[in-house]
Amino acid sequence: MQNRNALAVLGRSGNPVFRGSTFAPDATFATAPAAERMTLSGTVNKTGILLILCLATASIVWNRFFESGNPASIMGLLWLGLIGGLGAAITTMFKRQWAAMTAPIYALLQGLVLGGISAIFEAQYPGIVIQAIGLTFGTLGVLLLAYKSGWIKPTENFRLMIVAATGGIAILYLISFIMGFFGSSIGFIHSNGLFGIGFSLFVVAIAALNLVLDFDFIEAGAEQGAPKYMEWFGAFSLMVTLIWLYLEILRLLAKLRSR
Amino acid sequence: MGFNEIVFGGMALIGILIFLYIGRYRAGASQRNRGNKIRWNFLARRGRRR
Repeated sequence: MQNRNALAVLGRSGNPVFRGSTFAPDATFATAPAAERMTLSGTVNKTGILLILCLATASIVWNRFFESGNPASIMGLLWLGLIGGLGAAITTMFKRQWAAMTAPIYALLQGLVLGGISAIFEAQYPGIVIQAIGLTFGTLGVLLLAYKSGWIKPTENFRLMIVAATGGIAILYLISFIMGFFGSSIGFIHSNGLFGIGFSLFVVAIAALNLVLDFDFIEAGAEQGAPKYMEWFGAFSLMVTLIWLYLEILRLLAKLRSR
Repeated sequence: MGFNEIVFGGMALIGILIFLYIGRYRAGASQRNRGNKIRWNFLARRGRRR
């Protein structure tokens, strides 16, 4: 019972995209015709589209950085992607019916951010980006297999654990961000010492386990015949987690390489 | 193309292919038919809530 109360306070999922009311207010579900219901295939296709869109804009920023060799040349695009992406993500979370429009916009804008950050890391540590991409999609594939085969069975307690850990990490990052304005920071988050690497490993594990919640949500949505636009929403939620996972793996690898 | 690109590029490719192929199929029976599944709060259909 205590777990239920904590879930009600903390939210229903580790992924901020999945609030408790994800399916509740506007769901037409089984009353909708079969062609207008969420399917696994549709969600996979839409995730593929979002990945391609993200890659397209990322390659533009990446090329611009390596052509100029100057980080200042991409800063405008990077900030545009960061602020615009945040706006698109918040809009998608509150207006799920718009996800068919806002999710592709989010993917395009996040591509600008990922392309810029990746290029900066690649210039400093050659070969690091392909390692991060490989580990991100490798994790996606392995966890999907583990989920589909029933090896990992997400339960309410599992979700509570991920919610608590994700919330803790978010608060820690927020405090560090605010402290940054005053010329200070939480040292171990960015350090390349054992504690810093341990922290990064923990964050990568939590980001990866958020993927399992995404799979479960998508599977449940398809099983219950959620409205078609939820395919875009499911694809968007997967993108949010994949982008977070990729950035955390990139940070972890950079810490390891800088030792 | 170096060793790094082959190993990690291959890993990325396999991960994407697994997602594109396995992602289209429903989870196994042991995953679907269990009592302790997460309730995603959407069993509100037909006016029913858990």
